[in-house]
Amino acid sequence: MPPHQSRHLPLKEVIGSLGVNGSVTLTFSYRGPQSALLVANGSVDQSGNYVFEAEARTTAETASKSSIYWTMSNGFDTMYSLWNPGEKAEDLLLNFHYAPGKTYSLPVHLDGHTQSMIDLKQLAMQGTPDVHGQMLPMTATSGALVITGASGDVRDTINLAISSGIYNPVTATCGYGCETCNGCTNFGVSPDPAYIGFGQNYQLNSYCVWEDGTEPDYTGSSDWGSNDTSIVTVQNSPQWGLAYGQSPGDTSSSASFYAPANMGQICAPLPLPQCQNTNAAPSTPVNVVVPSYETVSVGGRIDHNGDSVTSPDGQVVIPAPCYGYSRSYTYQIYGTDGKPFTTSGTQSKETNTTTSSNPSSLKLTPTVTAGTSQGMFYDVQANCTNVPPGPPTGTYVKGNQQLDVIVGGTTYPQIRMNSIDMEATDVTVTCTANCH
Amino acid sequence: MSPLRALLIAIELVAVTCAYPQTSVLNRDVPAIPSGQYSLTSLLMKVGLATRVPMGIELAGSEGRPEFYPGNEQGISLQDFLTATIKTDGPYVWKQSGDVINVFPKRAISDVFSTEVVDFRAADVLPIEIVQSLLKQPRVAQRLAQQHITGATWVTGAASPSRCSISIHNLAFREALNNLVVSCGRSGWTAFYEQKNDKTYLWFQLW
Repeated sequence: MPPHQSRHLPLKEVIGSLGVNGSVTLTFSYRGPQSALLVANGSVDQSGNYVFEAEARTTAETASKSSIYWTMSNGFDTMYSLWNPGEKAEDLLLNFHYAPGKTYSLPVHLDGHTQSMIDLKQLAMQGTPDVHGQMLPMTATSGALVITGASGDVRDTINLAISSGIYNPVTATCGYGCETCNGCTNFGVSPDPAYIGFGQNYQLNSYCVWEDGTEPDYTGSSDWGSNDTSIVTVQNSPQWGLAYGQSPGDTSSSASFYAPANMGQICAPLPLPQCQNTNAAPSTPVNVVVPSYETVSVGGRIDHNGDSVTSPDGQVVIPAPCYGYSRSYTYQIYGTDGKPFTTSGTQSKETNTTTSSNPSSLKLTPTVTAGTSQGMFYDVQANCTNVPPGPPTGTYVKGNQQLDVIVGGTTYPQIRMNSIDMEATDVTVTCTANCH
Repeated sequence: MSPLRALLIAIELVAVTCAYPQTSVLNRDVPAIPSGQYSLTSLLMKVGLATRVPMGIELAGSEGRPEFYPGNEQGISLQDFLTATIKTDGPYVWKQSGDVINVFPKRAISDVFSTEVVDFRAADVLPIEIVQSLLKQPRVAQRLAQQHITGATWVTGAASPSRCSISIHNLAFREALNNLVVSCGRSGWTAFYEQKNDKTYLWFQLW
């Protein structure tokens, strides 16, 4: 067609020549800029009077679609025209929301290139059961419709053209429905910001914010990247979004993915734009965290009279019988983000130098693994014998402890000097560096 | 020099070289230790931990009072340190046993350390439990009983949940303790005596 020209198509003659008694769907294929072609057509009754416009729709595979409003009260009724423009059959679920928490879910099967009309009042009057065996009550007055695939997932792809009309045959009034392409209103990468332990893996996730507030996950369909791979790398297939803290520092990671775009509410007779996917590229700041400092909680003196000695996490450190006393220390590792350093595989090496004691001084270097969920580890200081009555009066242990946290083979000094007199009622803890 | 004498000297040189190869723990450098009052065990522990050479220390009695140590510069070998510290005219001798240095008295109260442990196995247990089990081995327990000595363990300081496994076959009790220290990644063991309430205790400690 030349620019700025219109053409009348003799549909009445064409439809008449088909010899059909029912409805037909006319498809146009168009190649050109979007919205450069306007198609208008209307319906007439048997007397030739104009009834209302039969809206044209663009066709494409989309996510779910919504009809913002329907009613069947005060003499009004709502009709939906559904058409499958594809070759493949479509199994749909029409979810009519009519009251808070109340939904009537009608399954509809459309073979390729077939069409179906849904009359809401008729549905209610016929008592057609939905997928849950429920019926659309006649008391339902108005609501909204969401059309999904058979699974009910609003993100599933469907191929469906929909148009609606709201009419009152008594008063001879009619109006158009308002429809929308469902999709994402916002995009993101979580967590935001992300703190990753040095030398450790951490799972990032990409998502979009659906118009109903849900956040569908797009991690597995994203193209992941890092702004500085010397600090953090992020995998694609087969472990999409799995980040690794290469070295301490700050950078950002991004995920690029296609997702349905929310097109906003479109009410005929405004032209309906084609449902579209959008290319989103959200990102998140990433900080590769290293241990920063520790805190210590000193337990009370526990006297033992033949029992075993256990650490706060329940591990036996001295078997029964133990005659004497012990005291536990619970250390909490914090990262440079100020949060408990929970990176798995974190170890703490303790150097315990006894400054004065009787019997002779000791120095132990056990390496313990910090709890992966809370970044804690434990130390138990004891003075006990396996025969009663226990250590002779006058024996004691005073010590200094240096605790180093090891992550990914790198040692981070977490120095704490504890002056411990096991026999004393109180334990004096003096922090010298990287501790509270 | 007769050919036989020359051959014996050559064999002796080879034997000495084999006994003290360059990789011997005896060649490790001892850090500088300032002069001061040290008990024998605290001095040996300090050096053993610094050189990462496990030590098995048997005292002639109780720990004893600290004595003056004149100190040493950094860089002397462990062998020189031991020779200077464990004097030949003193009450103790030292001996290398594999990668472990044993220090023990010339005249011991008990000869239990030479008693044979015939067959012993332990899996995934605390090291101090192994010492307790070794003290219950028939020949060891019998010897201690004959000498009216109560063998017991004493844990002081930090206690670790680390566990280990060990297998011993026909070793002297002293060697068994050495084996335990190496197998369990510990730094050494100490044994000393205490007279209390008319009883003689032989205390064992791991460090």
